[in-house]
Amino acid sequence: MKLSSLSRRSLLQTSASGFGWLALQSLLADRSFGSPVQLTTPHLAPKAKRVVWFFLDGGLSHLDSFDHKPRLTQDHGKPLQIAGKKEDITGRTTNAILGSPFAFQRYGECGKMVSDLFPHIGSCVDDLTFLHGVHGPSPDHESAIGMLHGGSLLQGFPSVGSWAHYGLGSENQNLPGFVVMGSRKRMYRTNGFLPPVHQGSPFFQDPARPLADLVMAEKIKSLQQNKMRAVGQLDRDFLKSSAQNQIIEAAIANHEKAYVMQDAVPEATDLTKETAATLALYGVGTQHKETDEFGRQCLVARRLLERGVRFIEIVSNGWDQHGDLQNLHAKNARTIDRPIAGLLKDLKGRGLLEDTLVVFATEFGRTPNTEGGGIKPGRDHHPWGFTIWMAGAGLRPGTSHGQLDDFGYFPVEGAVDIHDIHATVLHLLGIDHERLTYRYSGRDFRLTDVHGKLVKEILA
Amino acid sequence: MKHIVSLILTLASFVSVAVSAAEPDGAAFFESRIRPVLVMHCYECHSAEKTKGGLRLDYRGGFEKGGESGALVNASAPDKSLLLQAIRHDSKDLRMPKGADKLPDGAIADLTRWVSMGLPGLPENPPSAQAAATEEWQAKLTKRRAHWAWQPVHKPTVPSLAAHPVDSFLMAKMREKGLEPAAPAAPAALLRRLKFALVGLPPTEEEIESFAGDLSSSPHPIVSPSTTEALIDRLLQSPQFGEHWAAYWLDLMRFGETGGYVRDYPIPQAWRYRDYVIRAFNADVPYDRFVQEHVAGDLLPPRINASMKINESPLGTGFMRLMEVSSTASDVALEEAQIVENQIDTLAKAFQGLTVSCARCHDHKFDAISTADYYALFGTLASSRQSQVIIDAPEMKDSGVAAMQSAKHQMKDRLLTLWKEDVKNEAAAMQKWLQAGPGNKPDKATFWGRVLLRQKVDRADPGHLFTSIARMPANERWEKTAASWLNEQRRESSAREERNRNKFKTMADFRESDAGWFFSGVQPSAVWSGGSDFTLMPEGKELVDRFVSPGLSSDRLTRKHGSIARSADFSLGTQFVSLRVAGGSSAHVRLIQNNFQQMENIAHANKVRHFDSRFATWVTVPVGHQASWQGRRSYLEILTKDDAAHFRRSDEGNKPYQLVVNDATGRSWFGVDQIVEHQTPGAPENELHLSLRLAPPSPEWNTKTLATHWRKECDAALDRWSRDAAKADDVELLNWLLEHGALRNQLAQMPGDVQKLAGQYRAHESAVPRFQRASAIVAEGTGFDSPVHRRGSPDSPGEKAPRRFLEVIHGAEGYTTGSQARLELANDLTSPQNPLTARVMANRVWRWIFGQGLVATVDNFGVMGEAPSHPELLDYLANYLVEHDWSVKALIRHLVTSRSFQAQSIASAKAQQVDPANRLLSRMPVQRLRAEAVRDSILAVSGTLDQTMFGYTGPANQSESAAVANPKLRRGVYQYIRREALDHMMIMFDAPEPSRTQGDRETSSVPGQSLLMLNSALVHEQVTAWAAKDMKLRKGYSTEQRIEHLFATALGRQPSAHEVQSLVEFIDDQAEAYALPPAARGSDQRLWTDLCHVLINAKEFLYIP
Repeated sequence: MKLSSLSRRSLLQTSASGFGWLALQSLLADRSFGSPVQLTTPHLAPKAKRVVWFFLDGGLSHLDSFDHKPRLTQDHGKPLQIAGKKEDITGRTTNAILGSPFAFQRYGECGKMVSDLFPHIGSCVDDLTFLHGVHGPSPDHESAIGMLHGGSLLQGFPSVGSWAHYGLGSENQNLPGFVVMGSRKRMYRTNGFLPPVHQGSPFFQDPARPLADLVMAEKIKSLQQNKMRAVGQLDRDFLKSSAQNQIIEAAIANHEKAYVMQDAVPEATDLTKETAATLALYGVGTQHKETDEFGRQCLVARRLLERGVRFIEIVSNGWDQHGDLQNLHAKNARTIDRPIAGLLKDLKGRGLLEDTLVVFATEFGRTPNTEGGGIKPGRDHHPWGFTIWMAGAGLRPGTSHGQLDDFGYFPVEGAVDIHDIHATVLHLLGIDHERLTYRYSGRDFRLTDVHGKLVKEILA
Repeated sequence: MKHIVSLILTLASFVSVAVSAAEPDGAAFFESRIRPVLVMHCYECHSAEKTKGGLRLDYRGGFEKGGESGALVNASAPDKSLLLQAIRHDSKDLRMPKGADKLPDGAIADLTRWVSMGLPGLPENPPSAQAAATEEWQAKLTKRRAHWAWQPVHKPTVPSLAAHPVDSFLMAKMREKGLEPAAPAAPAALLRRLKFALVGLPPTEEEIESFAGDLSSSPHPIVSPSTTEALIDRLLQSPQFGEHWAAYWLDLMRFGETGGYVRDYPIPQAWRYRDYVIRAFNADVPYDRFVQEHVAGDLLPPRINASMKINESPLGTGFMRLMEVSSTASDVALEEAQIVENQIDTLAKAFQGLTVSCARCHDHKFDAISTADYYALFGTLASSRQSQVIIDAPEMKDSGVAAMQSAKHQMKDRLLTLWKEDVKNEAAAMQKWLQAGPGNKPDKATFWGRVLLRQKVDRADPGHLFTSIARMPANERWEKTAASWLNEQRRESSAREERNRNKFKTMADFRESDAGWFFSGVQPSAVWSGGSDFTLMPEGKELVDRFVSPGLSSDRLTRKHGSIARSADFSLGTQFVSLRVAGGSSAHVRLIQNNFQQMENIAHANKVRHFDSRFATWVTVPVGHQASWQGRRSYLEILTKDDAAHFRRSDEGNKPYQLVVNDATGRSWFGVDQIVEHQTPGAPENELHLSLRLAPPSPEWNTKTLATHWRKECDAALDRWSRDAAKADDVELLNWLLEHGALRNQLAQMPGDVQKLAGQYRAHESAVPRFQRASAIVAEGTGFDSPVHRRGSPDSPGEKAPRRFLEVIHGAEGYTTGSQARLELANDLTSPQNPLTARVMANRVWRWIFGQGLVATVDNFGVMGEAPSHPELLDYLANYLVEHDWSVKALIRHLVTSRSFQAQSIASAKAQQVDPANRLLSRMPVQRLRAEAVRDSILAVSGTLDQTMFGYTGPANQSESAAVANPKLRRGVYQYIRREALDHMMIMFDAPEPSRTQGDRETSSVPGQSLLMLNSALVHEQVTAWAAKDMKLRKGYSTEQRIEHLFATALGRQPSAHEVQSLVEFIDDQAEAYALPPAARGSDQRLWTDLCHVLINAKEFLYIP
């Protein structure tokens, strides 16, 4: 049996102060407590202390959002001719080029071209760092999502948030260190072979409850307090009879921590104290039907970040537009554009963007040639070249790195793969991706496997 | 010894080609002292594969040329050679071997001497990368095989320190550290420990009283060893034993019941594998047999479960199907690589404690496992096919067969006579109609009326000539029409034949032979037959269903006898495959590539084609024009509906995918007689032989010859049918006659004896059982040797790796059987020469009993795993397992009867100091309940646990037997595992995500566990039920008495006076919080619900001291 969630020091501290209320107070006061596997010293000087990772599930079209390719409009309807062009994936794709149905315009001092899908994010471009030469190995959702999250096409690998939590631990013992919002899928929050304590906590699976089993079952607080006291008595006797067994001691401490979390989590997710201006910034409220849910998640994310949560993944679903790209991409974008921009502006306004990293990722882009054709054309999966952007700590803001060819098909410069993205994210967190390893069945595993190069060009 | 021989051969051949003509002593010195050093320490970076710094050290030219840092050897001052400076670490900038320890002094001295000798012995020419890799691997293998785990299992002498051998071995180590074993545990604690260790459930109050004596007596009574052993034996024999131990095993098999990922579709009959494991542990199936069944259960002699009337053996192979599988694959080779990787990973870790899958991209970094080993296993496993198999015992499959055959056989002669009479009458009717001349329409209600009044008739129709005559204007002579029809028909016939010949290439023609296909199913329905047969209606007013074409068919006797027909592997260069099939009720054909089963209603669903046609018709399967599909290792399979899973998205939003397979009867069927491939769309045209056959050759046209000829051909077809010699055309003709009513087929028109035979047939047919299927794998074909995938990529095939087991254990000799090589693998795993199988399992059992393995890394016995804490004990236990006929129960019994298992868990001061991690087991480790046991305990103490065993427990699903009522109240092992919606409680308490083998569950302590115990609906439902039941049961008990009983139920012991007192105070506190008057305190259920809640929140509920 492994003692995974308490340090020896904190154990002694809780034991010394006795159990019950005093212990709880000391737990609350001790901010460094609760880090499951804390690196004694970071490998590098960390730029970012925390991460918000947006994930657009299904494949956002880079060609219709942040990677402006006027050649597609010029050659609309003509056959796509690219040396080394890949086979189509679904067998339904036609070879006709599809010009973007969205208009692009310049934003910010950097003059970045952004489509009408994302006017609010467009207004933040001077804070963003675009990677236009991203490429992945797989055109299938499942393995591409696996690669983006776990650095592997195979099953059973920990997700990037789990690795970050393993590397850095948590800053707040009353809240989970790694939170996933917007999806139930296991792939985003799995700890793989890492200890279960590094698994992402799914927030808001039930919109009414941020976290499972958090709401006190008793109607009156004193009823639960009495139970805690009675349990504490039994546990103290049990601990004594076990000659102060550490495993039992740890379990007792965690029981008391759970008690505290019942208050800490609702406090962190309570938006009633936010100002009207803040709510509007995120598009939260009944007057903002399209953005309310995603906006809430973004705003809760900011509150969690302020309270020391390390890694928050927010998932936006339904980007797989094989058909009717114009309407459906626009509909999806409307739900996330304002909230994401709101979070960026809010973080910046509070000075948090300086040591927070924001990543905006999708598992792959979409093809320049059309699928479906006809009156509601769409685009097929395109992992060979697409866009991910980042913002915040340690990055060069208002810049773009890498470029695809005129059709947005293959990178012609600044190609980066998913391992490189992972290496760079870990680097910004002060972790050397080659040294963050976990021994599992006889091998030291890394998020970046045997790959990963730092994308130095985007670092400040 | 094989491996050593091969090493010597390799070196010898190398030497004979490559040794220079230097002094013989120099060459010998090089071979014995220098080459091994170069191979082990230098060639990884400086040989054919890699030339770091531009340097190669594997031939003379490489040494002479040197690298980027300059010349290697200084001929005039050998001692100043760069090579020697580097290995001596003279300078900070150039130290070799890079990043590793300095070479041993002896090696440096040898190299120095060798340089001064003038580099004798080096090959003159650069060896190939392949040769270099082989040599390097052989050198590594020789060195790595020294690792402890590869050594044979010894028979250690048992130290005589204690009565029980296990205690003796442990005490020997303790003595070295000055430790003494802890005192025996109290009876109640021992009972609780034994219950959780053997059956995973808490003791009942009755058990506590009978084992530990009266709860109120103090001090504890002494329990005699024989009482303890009787308890142990009772628990080992209880059905709950298998449920508890199966759960350990299912972790290893990453057991889940859906495929995960986006669609998370069900894995058909996964629960049958789970039930198989439970039964196997309960029946104490010898572990070697159990392993063999996992690897090759389909190829072993059956293991019949007499009470269930099934063959258990093939169920073991189900573990090969339990992994996560992508549902949107577009690169089938990559999918196959991932599936097989998971199979190898599971097999190697679970049975051998080896991380073989580390060798997928390159030779293992640390262990004696090469990439060739990995791909040798890859080919062995990938040579099998995934399939549903019928597990019913032979007696079930034989049900009614003889009686149905006999009824059909007796009927046949009678039908021949009757039908010949029918043909004679219809010929006469035709003659009469022809004589009446054009313009006279036959009566619609007759056979000729039905045939001739049809609107559209294909030229291939047997009645086309007569239809043409019937359409002729009244004033024309029909003989003229008939003559021109014949000319036109002949011309068209040769045109069609030529078009078919040009466009289509035959893949299989079953009219003459079985074309080398594999055919499984229930005999004698499912067979290839070149003669002909007929099938009977199981119900309704008609007797015969159809005449069966020569070819493959599944339903010769009954459509309840399902079947699967599969081709050998082939590789397609064309875009379409067309099959001439008959069939119904979801019979279908699938094109399988790289063993990957594309799902219906999901991407690439067109690889699955259903057909529903009583008589033969063409269906086309598109292969796809792209390289992703073409050239792949492929096979075709034709299946009846129960034999494959169909997936359909539930109509209700986010609900899981369903298996949609069955109707109530389980009847489904197919027949197939031709398969062709082609490059352009469109199936073959029907040819015209039959319709030409029915017209007399010109110029014999007159009413009589026409009718006589027709009758002759029909009679001939019937005669050949009666002799089992009908050809395809005959069958087509007979089916045409039958379908249009020329042959009588109404039961009511049949003579009494035929009706009686039909009744007999139907009675037996309806009694044929619905067969039980399981997900398994099957061996078909010759098997294939996989190429090594360079860097793990199936797109970069390298050398072929012949199928075999690990070279380090069984040598480099390949397997000799085809797809059945799995049986050889099964034998290699369980052979007495295998040093791992018994050790790994003995260690697992130890881990599951004592909480930590003797080898702590239970899934890794390799170099990167931990060495055994008690190597002699490990070997003793491995021997014990084998010598007790591989009985897992015997081994468990041996362990739990030891004094060490029965000791207290309290560490002495000395033990805390000397051995805080308790590796020496001077006391029993405190263990937390496993996730299943947490759940089961809550239900058990609350009295709501449903102890029903076995069966499907998932959501309502057409393909599985009906789910039991409220499976949520059943034991944890029966909870349905949907990979994308894993049970929160199980995950919280460390049940692993079922992705990869997990022999050593983590035990974490996190606040989420306590939140769940504090606030979850499940916990509150249970404690409420428990309190309600207890209120009824113990009316009139005092508060203290009631507390004592509830306490004992929850924690398995009597509370101390102090504990009773504090719980009485708790009741008072709650009563106050609820503002209850003193009188209501005994009767308010909420107080007792809260007390129960407190008891299960006590850490003692979860932690077993």
